[in-house]
Amino acid sequence: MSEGSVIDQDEALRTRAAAGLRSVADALVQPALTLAFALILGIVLIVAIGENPVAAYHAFLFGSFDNALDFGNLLAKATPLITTGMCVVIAFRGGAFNIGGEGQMYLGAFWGAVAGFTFVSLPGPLLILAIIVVAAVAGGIWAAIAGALKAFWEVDEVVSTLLMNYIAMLVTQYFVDNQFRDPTAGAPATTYIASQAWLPGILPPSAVTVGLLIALVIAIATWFLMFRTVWGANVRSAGTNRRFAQAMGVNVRRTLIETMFISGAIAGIGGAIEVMGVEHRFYQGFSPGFGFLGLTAALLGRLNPWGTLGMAFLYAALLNGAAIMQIQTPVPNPLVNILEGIIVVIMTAQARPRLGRLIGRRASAA
Amino acid sequence: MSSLGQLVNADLLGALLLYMTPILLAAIGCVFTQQANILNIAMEGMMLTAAFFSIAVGAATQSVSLAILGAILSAMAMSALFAYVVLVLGADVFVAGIGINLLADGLTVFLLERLYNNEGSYTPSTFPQIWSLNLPPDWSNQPGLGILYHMLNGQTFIVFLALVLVVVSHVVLYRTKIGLHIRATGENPEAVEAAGLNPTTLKILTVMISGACAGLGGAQIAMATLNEFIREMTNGVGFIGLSAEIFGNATPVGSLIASAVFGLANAVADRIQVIPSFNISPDLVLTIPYVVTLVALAFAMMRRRRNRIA
Repeated sequence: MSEGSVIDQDEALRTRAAAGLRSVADALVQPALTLAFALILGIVLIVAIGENPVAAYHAFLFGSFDNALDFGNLLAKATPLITTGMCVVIAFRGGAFNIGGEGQMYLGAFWGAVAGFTFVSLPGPLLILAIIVVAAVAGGIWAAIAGALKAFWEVDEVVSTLLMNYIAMLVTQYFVDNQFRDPTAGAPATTYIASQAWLPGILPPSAVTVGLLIALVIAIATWFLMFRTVWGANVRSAGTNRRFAQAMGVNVRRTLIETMFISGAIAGIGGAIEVMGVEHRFYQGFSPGFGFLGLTAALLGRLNPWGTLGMAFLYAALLNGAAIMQIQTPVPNPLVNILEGIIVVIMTAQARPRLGRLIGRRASAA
Repeated sequence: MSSLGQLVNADLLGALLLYMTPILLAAIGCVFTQQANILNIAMEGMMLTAAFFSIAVGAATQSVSLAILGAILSAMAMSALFAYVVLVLGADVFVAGIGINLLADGLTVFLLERLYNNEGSYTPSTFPQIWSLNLPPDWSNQPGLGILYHMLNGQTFIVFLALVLVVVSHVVLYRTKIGLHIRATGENPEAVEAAGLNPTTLKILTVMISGACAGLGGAQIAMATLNEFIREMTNGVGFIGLSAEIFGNATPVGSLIASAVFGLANAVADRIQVIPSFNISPDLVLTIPYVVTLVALAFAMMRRRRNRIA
C-alpha cells in the first residue's frame, strides 16, 4: 500500500468522523427544538382551558418514571413501535418505502394466533418459536408480494403496500367474523392461544413482557444484518444505486424481494408479540395504528436502527405520559394527541437537507 | 323477488352514490395534488376536521350554509398548515401528512371533550337539514321514474356538486392554462420555472384545492344521513380516496370510475348483510376494490414495460 493512500484513508476517516459528529448534533438539535415548541404550545393550551400546567407537565413528563408500573407500561408501549419501526428501516435501506407494516403485522398476529391455539401440545419455548416463525412467514410473504410487484413491473410499493394494508385487515376481519371466531368473545376475536406461549411479564404488574426483549433482539439483529453482513451491504448498495449494484453482480430483483420479506417478517413478529404478550388471542382491534406510529418513529429516527429505537422509546414516553396525565390531573388526554400531531407535523421541517435527500427520491417516484 | 333482484335495484344505486361521494371528493382533491407530484397522505385528517366543524358550526348557528363553510374553511386551514410545513419549511411530505392526521384526530377529540363533555361523539339536539333532492313520492312506482326516485331521492346537494366537480376539474386541468401549469409542475418543474412561474406557488394552490374538496367530503360524511360527529368517523375514506385517485390514474374521470367501484363495493357489502339468502361475507366484498386496483396497477405497469421493450 502506498503512503498516499494511507494519508487519503486517514483524511477520509477524519472527514467521516466530523460528518458523523455534525449529523449527531443535527439529529439532536432539530427534535429538541420541535419538542420545546410543542411543550410551550401545550402550556398555552393548558392555561387556556384553565388548568395548572405545572401539575399536568409533571405527570406528563415524569409520571412514566415515578414507579415500576408506569415505567413498565412505557416499555410495553414501545415494544410494537420498535418492530414496526425496524420493518420500515430495513425496507428503506433496500430502496423500498414499506408503509404496509400495519397489514403485515395484522397477518402475523392472526396466523401466529392460529398457530398458538392449534399446536397446543408443543412445550412453551417450541410453541413460542413456532408462533414467531408462522407470523414471520405470514408478514414476510405479504410484503414480498409488494416487493415482487416492484422488482418485476416497477409497481410503486408505497401504493401497493397501502392498498394491501386494507386487504390484510379485511381478510383477518373476515376470518374472525367467520371460521375463527370465538363465540364466547364479546368482540371479533379468536380463541386464546395455549397458555404455555403467553409471554411472562418482566416488571409485574405492568404490561411489559419478554416481548420487549424479543423486540430489542430484532433491533440489534437489524443493525447487524444491514451493517455487518455481506447481504446487508448488497441490500444497501441496491437501495442507493441499483445500476451500480447490478454491475457489481448483485441480483437486484432478488435482493429487493428478500429485503421486503425480512421487513414484513419483522412486522409480523411484532404482531405475534402483541398476541403472545397482551391479548393472548388475535383481536381485530388490537392495533391503534402501530404501523403508522412505527413508520413515524423510523422517519424521525432518520431510518437508522439506533435512531429508530430511540424514537420508539420517546414516542412511547409521550403516549404513556399522556395516559398518566389524564388520570392524575383534569387535563384531558386528547391535548397530548394535539401536541403529538404538532410534533410530527413540524419534526422534519428544516431537516430537509438530510432527510429530504433520503426521501426526495421516493417522493418523486410516488 | 329473487335474492339477486333484492340486491341489484335502484336502491343499490342510491347507496352507491351515498358511499361514492366522499370518496370521489377525496379522490378529486388527490388528483390535483398528485398532478403537482404530492402524495396527499393528509386527506384523511382534513376530512375528519371538516366533519367535526360542519356539525359544530351547524349546531351553533343552525345554518346549513355556515356549516358547509365551516367545514371547507377548517379543512383548508389544515391544508394550509400542511402546505406551509411541506412546501415552505421543507418538511417531509410523508411525516407531515401523518402528523396532520394525528393532529386532526387529537384536535377533534379535544374539542369534543371540551365543548360537549364527550370524548366519543356529539349529536346536536337540533340540526338544520342539509339541502337535498325531494322528488314527488308518486314517482316511486312509475316505470322509469321509479329508478330515478330510488336512486336520487334524498341525496344531498353535495352528491350532485361532486359530479359537477368531476367535469369542472377535468376542464380546469386539461383545457385551461392554469391546469397546464399544474400538470407541468408535477412532470417538469424546471420547465415551469423557466417559463417564469413559481412551482411552489402552484403546488400550494393544489394543496388548498384538495383542502376545499376534503371540506365538502367531510361535510357529506357528517351531514348526509346522521347529522352527528363520531370520533374518527372518516374511518379511512381519505385513504380510500387516495387509492381511487391512483386507480383512476390521477385523472378526474378515472377517479370517478374508481370511486364508483369503491362505492359499489361498499353499497353491496352493506346491503347483503340484510339479505339472508346471500352467503357472501361483506368483508370479502370490501376487499374487491383494493384487489382490483392492485391488479389493474400491475397490468398497467406490465403493459408499459412491454411497450418500452418492444
